[in-house]
Amino acid sequence: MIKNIDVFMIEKIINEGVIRGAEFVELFIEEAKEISISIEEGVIQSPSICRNIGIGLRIFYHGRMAYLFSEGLDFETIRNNIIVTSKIVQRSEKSQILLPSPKTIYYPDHKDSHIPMDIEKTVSSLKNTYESSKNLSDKIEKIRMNYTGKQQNFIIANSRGLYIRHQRNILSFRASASARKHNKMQNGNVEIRSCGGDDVFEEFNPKTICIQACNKALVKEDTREIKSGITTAVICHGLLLHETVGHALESDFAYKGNSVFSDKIGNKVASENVTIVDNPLFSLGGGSIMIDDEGTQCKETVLIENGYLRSFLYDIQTAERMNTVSTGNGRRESYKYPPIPRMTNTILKEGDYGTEEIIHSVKNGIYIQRMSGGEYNISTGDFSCFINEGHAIENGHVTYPISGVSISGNCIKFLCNIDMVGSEFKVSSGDCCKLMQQINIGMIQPVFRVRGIGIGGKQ
Amino acid sequence: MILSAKESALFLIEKAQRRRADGEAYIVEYKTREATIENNEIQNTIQASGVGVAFRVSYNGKMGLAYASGLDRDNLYQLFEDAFLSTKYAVKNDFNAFAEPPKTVPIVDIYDSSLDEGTIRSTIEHMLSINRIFPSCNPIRGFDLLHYTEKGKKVFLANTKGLYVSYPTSDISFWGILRGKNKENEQSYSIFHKCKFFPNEAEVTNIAKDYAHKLSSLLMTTKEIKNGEYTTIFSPQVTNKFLYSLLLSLRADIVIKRGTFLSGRLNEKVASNIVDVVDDGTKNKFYGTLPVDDEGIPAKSKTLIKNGVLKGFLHTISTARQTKTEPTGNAKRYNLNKFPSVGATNFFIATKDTGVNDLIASTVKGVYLCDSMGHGFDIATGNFSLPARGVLVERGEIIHSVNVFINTKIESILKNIEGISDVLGYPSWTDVISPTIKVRGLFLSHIR
Repeated sequence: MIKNIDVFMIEKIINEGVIRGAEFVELFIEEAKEISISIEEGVIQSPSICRNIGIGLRIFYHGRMAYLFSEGLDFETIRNNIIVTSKIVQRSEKSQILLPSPKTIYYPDHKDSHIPMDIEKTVSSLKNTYESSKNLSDKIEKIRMNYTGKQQNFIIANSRGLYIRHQRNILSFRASASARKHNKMQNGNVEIRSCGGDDVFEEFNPKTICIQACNKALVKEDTREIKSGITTAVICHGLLLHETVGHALESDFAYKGNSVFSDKIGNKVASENVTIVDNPLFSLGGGSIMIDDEGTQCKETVLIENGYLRSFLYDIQTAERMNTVSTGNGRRESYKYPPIPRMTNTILKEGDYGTEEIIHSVKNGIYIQRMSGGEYNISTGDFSCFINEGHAIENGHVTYPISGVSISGNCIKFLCNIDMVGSEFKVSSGDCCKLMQQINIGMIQPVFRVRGIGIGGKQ
Repeated sequence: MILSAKESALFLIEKAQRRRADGEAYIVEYKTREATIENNEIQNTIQASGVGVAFRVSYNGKMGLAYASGLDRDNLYQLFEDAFLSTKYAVKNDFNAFAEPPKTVPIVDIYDSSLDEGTIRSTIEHMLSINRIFPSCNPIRGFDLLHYTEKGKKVFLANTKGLYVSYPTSDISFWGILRGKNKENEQSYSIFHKCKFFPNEAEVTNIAKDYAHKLSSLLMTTKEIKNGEYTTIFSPQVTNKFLYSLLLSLRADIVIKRGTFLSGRLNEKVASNIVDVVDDGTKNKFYGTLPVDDEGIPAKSKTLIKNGVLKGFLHTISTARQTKTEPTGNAKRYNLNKFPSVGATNFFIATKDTGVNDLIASTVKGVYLCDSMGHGFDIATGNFSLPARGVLVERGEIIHSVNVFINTKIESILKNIEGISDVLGYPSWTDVISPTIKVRGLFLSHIR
């Protein structure tokens, strides 16, 4: 439907704001289709097809933002709301925004993709996956899969002459397997999320992921308790860096002086082994995007280079407030939300060590494979995460499994204590919720060693 | 051509009937106004109105779902065909069914009609008044960030069995980052509050006083405590984390699919004698109250744990049929894109008769936990992990601030509850409402 939108209508709306003195007017028009299928024991459980269409309008008067949205393509309501809004927003000299001059009229190569929307093909592929995975072992008792394919088409147009049409595909797949061992059930879960063009669906191989989940369940042993205290951790899951570096370097908190990193650009904030970038162009990462949701073309941003803080992540608004330019990190969940600075794929650059070499270097510690429930205090830098999958390390060897414990620390101390970084990348992805907006993100990092992590045990 | 919500529901139902299918339309019309203030400067406002339609259709016992935004007639045609198409891939499931028209529906007060006259200007005024009242309570210095939302919704639910229910409801919420300061220390503290009606000045002051009290404790100098067992008092904010984990364990959909540590344990003792856990969707003006659940089953009050004994789980129609029991009025659409699943209405531990101050004053040596960061929970084993901040209590006196880890099992907390306060705190974003609880002999380890 948005294919047929008349460009003159878009211009009319934008000019409605401009003639009333708005500094910036932006329309985000979105049409999204999503199919969702879950399959349990080879049986399709809850197929659904969802369609969303709507308009989000962002308008700045004297530095203040008003955001309006409406479902459907109700341009008239949006136009009337501009008139009302122009009377409400009050003057504020302190937070004036100077938006970039017009230069980008960008039309990316665009082809209509229907791959993620082919419910029949997807159902058949998931059923085949189940059939080929269920006989992997007679210990496997249950296999569950959840698939969501989303195709988002959107137009971004603003008062500076930007006019973009773009299509983005997002795939999310989770396989869970339960295996019975010694009369106890053990679960294995693997989840992937990819965002990008058509390659997202072309390269999707549910069978590989499902077999990984089965193997996880098959090798899982009973967990044991671990002592509380300070320990050395070998970490191969990206959640900690996402919480402690990614969120802390999103500029909306940093520019107000509320982040522990606020006044530290150019300062040493991590060990020299640490180089962290945000790279939206990483192929098939959970947070990969070509352009952000303000229409800025994406690029890699170096956040920390050999331990020195180099940049924050900016959208247009926060970039202007800090006298710089957007890094292409203005992201939003949908037309229902204004864009805010967000991560895409957070990547810790590789070091020189092999994974085994790092594990062997630890006399006593923990090896963390999967975490959840991360929480971070922006102003103090304190963080905590829950370990879903992990093992003890004893005399340089990975031994018994641990789980059900949390780790905590402070981000700058944590970054300074990373003393070995591996050479082999692990890719993980997930949903990240900030200011009530949920978006997909990627976390890519090699295994690394960090000293001085607090762990809460039962002893 | 745009139809009204009622016309749209009837249009979809009629189309289903013509195809000899069963169908259910769930339509939400909403209006929302939001505003954000940062360091005393208004940053942005959001205004929106919209409508979403979720349509479930059951054909030959196979159920599919489709969702669309807007009530354009062409959209509704597409929506119906999408839902019908999705049934093609579903399997026959005898447990799926739609609700019969209810004989009676509880009359509940859940809509603040002053929302109707409101404008974005009045929304900003409400936010400014919260921003003004909080710093009047020492040691609160102000908000780094305050986000305020007013939302009015009208729900229409109709199905081919003849059910038609419609009701308005309002959601007022605010969240923010408070800054507190005393002579020695400065702390930030996240707050969240939601309610059905605009809080008046006295109510906002009470909320602010509650947070100010906790901030005062947290601003004390932090000292290490020895790892070991302590009598531990959980403030409502900390109890919320524990109670939310318990709520997940009592959801019949999770019990059926994955199993929880409470699976198969009906009529077993799982908590101390003084513990009653209740889900009550009929409490007037409470945030989770609704006349009917999201499938049309009338709201009711259920005691899930009575005197420490497990008495039941929370059900939708489908989970109730699978387990040969009655639906409890707990079908919830967390997202209109998805099939209804089990959710809480107002889920709480029933209050007793001890004041919060008495729970603290009667503690010889213990820890009073005011705030927590994140939490982890393993639903199969009941393992529960929580980093928390609080204060050491000796002979009823607050001594100094502490940072501790809790690593235990939910059941161990439940069985060792020895005191429950006489008031409930404020509802959390996870739909639970907690009193202050006192737990004996909980192992705490210091966070360095």
